[in-house]
Amino acid sequence: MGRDLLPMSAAPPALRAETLYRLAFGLGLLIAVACFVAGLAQVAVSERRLPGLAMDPLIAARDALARGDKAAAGREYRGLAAVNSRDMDLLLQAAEGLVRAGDAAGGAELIGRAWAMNPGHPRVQTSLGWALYWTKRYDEAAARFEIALRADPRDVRAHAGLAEVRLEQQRYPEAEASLLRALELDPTNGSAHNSLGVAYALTGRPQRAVEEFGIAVRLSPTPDILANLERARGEAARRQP
Amino acid sequence: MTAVGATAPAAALRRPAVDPGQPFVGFTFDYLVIGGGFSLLVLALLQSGTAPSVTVFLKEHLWTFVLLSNSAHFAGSTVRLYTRRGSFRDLPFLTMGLPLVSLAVLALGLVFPGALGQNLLSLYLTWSPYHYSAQAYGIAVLYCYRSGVPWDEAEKRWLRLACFAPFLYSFLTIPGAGMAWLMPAAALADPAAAAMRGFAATAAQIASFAAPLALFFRHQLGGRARLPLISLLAVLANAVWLVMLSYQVAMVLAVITIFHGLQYLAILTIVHVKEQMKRADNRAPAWRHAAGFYARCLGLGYLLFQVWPHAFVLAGFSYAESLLLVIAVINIHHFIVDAFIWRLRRDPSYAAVAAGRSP
Repeated sequence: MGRDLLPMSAAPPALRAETLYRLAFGLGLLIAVACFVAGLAQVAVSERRLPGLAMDPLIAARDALARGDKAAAGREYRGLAAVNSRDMDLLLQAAEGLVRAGDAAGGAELIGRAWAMNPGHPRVQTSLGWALYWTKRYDEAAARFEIALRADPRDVRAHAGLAEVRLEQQRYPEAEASLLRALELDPTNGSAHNSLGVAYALTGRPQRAVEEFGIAVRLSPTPDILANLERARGEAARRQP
Repeated sequence: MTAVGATAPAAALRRPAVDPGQPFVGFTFDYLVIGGGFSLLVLALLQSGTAPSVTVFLKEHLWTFVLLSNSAHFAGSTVRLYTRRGSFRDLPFLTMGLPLVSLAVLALGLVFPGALGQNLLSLYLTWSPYHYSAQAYGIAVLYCYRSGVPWDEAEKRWLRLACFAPFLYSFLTIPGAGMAWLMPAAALADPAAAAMRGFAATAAQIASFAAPLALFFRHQLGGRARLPLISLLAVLANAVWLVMLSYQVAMVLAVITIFHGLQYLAILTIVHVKEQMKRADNRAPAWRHAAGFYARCLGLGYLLFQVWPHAFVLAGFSYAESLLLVIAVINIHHFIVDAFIWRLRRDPSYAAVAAGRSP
């Protein structure tokens, strides 16, 4: 009978495990609730709204660039590259973003890493083209986009990049042709719709520019595209008889 | 002549040439949502490029659809786990220990993005196609049960192999995950290894479609327990999702996850509602149970995917790494929970649903 008795300090193992589980559950629940409250508060305080529905890892970086906060954008792109260096597409987007944020060396390092992962891949040429575009080396950028397009004529971003170069060089018919090809391949590319709107506006077709800016605003309602839309609407209204 | 002998020929005569399966809600709903038929229609429209306005509309509202379906489905497994009677008693680690472990892993992944964080991402990307294939298998077997003709273990093994061929293809081909994650880059770059990998991927690609079709016709013609047509559709839809489409293109990937989530939510809600309706103290109509369950999934989905990542921004991490790691950890948690709550033969509620021949 005495063998069945346990000392006061030794709880049965099942009971101990249950207590530990309950403790773990309570702690987990507390941390989760604290995270949700903190997340809501972070957006409510910094942006004066509830968190939106986007699940794009680059959205904060793009917003920072749009605000002109290059340091914040660079931090976002570096964070993305640190955690996702095996996904070539995201790595290249981070590289281009770093160049835009003024960290050309960081961008070049990431492009080099992508190149090492997939030597000769046309998408790396495209990213290199964009990096050169953001540093205003337009002829070199165009050459990279053309190399990428020779290897992959369906590369939407290479068509779009070549169009941006041609817009800068005021070669509008070529820019328009490249943008139409990009949008034929991917009609959801908001940036290409915006650039096509710019091409139309610069060549005296404000009504068509309004249509393109309108689609671009639906796809990515950024302040610069909204401003383009308003300007084009004003121009179109002025031209109406 | 025995009674059985007398009725057997009549039953055989009544048996349709192709078993369409016993629907839960109705043929249209089951074929379009649970079988994945609607996804094939939408994806065909997207791929054809004939309706750019539909593509723009989808892109414009993509994240809303993702929240309504995919985020809610991730939350669904958790809501199901905690609303199922006896879960805390039967699955103490899963219900009480795993959340804290997941939080700890997430925190460590954020602190060590290179050493742990990117491996979490690769793990989730490797596991995800397995999870999709397991869901296709589960749905196929579920409709087999509902048709009332049990499959033996050997037949189920063949069905499982047919369902998992798309996973094998994904494992061999996804960049940054599967084989590309587990094997050293130098070994994969070896021409002989690359050729073998290419050959195996092509074989898996063909098997993803040929194996379920062969199984269907073999059972159709061989006098065996027949694979319902809706089971075949679910398996082929999964093959299209994982094999025929470019899994890495963000838009296509998002659309696939929406339909996977829709399929999952439909089954989960049916299971939940059937369970609630069977309770002796139930007073509410079925739609109220379904709406209440979905509302909880939606609310939790919003908190998990839209709110949670911002908490780590407050702690000084970038939004990009917070979001990616939150997604990875939620996925892994979902895969683990899912493996337990859908144990076909052990879950009495699942068996009750599967056995119910009437919708």
